[in-house]
Amino acid sequence: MKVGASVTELVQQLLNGLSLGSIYALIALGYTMVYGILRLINFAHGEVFMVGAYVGLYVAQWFGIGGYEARGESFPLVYAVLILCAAMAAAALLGAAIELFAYRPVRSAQRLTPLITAIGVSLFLQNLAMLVFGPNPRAYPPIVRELRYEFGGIILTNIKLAIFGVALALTLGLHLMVQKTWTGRAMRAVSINLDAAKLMGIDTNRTIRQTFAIGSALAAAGGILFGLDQITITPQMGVLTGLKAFVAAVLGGIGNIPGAVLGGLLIGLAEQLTAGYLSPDYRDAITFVILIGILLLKPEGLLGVVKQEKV
Amino acid sequence: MSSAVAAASSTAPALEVRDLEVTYGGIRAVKGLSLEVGRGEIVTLIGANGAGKTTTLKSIVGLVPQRKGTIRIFGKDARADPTHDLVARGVALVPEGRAIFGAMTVRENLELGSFRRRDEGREARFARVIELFPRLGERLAQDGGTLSGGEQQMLAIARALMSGPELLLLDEPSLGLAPKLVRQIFDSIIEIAATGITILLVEQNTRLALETANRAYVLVTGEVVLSGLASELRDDPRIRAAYLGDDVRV
Ligand SMILES: Nc1ncnc2c1ncn2[C@@H]1O[C@H](COP(=O)(O)OP(=O)(O)OP(=O)(O)O)[C@@H](O)[C@H]1O
Ligand SMILES: [Mg+2]
Repeated sequence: MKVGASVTELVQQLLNGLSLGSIYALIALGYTMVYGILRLINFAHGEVFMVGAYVGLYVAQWFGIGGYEARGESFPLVYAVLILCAAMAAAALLGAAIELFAYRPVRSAQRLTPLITAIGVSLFLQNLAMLVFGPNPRAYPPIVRELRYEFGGIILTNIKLAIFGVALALTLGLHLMVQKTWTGRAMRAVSINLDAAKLMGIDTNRTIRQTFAIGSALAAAGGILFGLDQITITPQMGVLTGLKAFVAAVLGGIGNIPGAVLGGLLIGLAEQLTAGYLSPDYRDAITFVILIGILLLKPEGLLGVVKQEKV
Repeated sequence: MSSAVAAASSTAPALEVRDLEVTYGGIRAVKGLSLEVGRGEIVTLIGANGAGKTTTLKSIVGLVPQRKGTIRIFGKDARADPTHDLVARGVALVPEGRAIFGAMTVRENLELGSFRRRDEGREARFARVIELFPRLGERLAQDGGTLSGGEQQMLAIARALMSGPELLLLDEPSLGLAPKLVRQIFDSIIEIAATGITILLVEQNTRLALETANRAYVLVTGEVVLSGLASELRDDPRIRAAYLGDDVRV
């Protein structure tokens, strides 16, 4: 009986960890794509995730979600999908704007300049968000009303299923885009060799802009899923979650798309298992233990390859 | 190239460089270079290490900014378009060191070559480059980075041809290759030229370049010091002494 209970407990923790990890994976993809193409750590990416969550909140209000709640009616699924699309589109625009106005002017500068710019954009967006969205935590609207299912003591909610479903669909979509479309080929070419990509006739500025837009859209989807999962959002939500997703990208091998997914899932699992079996106090700390560990043992990341300068 | 532009400048040379000057942080790498490549010609630009050959090619396609001078391609100012649009205008550069996309397959590399020419002609061009370099056909699914140096050079040329160029710029295609392979690459270059593609060939292998080209320019520290018919330069004692390793006193 005891063994059975602990197995159930473990499966529950694993499921929760994978769900959290799916959100990290969605955000980590944006870090890794931008790094792959520009060798830039886009520290403002966590804020794009945050803005995505807020856009979702406002669009839900605009659709009159409060009224549905008050009447005890369920919010239409079409609206939920539209909210997701709207947040992704808004974040794509924001990401493209950040690239154009903040990073492009310093693209050819020394390495430190883009890094400082990134931190600046991140702080700017956080403060702007406090001004526009208000500094206090906001309850996330129940875009999807929670339903609970129980299988032999393991609790699964439709929200967790939605998180898995959306994350999986978007990751597969991204994979197909990168492998099969001209845009995706252009992205890979630019990330390998910028000048050679230009010689292929690729408008590399456009490709870089598209990379920011796509990464940002994925982060926004992560933002909405995060809001649904965690119930409240704040203008600072992008700081810690962004950092964890960044560590996920480093863990998987920064610049590597499957690596970002793997890293995200592992960070989510580690966090959940730490909280469940060690102490909830350590749930954030474990990410940084992993970061230090990977930097010491395998700095190129789990799926990363050691870059050799070819002559 | 649009037919309107073609008609308007049908007599203009394929490439016209006038008084080109390029600097790197104040150091002049190219100092007032002028050269011309007529339609259908093979012209070679030869010179020692650091003479400014690569710099010249890069500035023709806009990869490095020029300080002075004009560059016209089929009569139109080259600086009217960014690098990626020059490709659509029929200019292709096979860069020094080949710049293969190593983590992409041979097929993907070739497809990228046709990024701006996704028309029906693509399949025919694909068939033609495979015919020109059958070894690539056997390695389509292999990553570009796993090819030998010679195969990578073939791939770089084939990839450039996939854009359907009218002007092909080649930067040291013989670099680091065994003599037998060099011969093969140069035979392919002659075959490519025979299809009507204009070629500007940068080389350090002076003997082979002069055998292949119609005309030549000799570059020394950023300046053209000698130019003329390749057949005449081959016998020029100054060239023989300086570049062909013959023991001829000037
Ligand atoms: N990116 C750069 N920054 C500074 N100087 C450069 C740069 N590229 C080239 N140079 C300098 O410009 C000069 C011309 O170089 P370039 O590469 O054009 O010569 P090259 O004729 O192609 O030589 P090689 O036969 O060795 O390829 C050299 O003195 C070189 O050191
Ligand atoms: Mg060179």
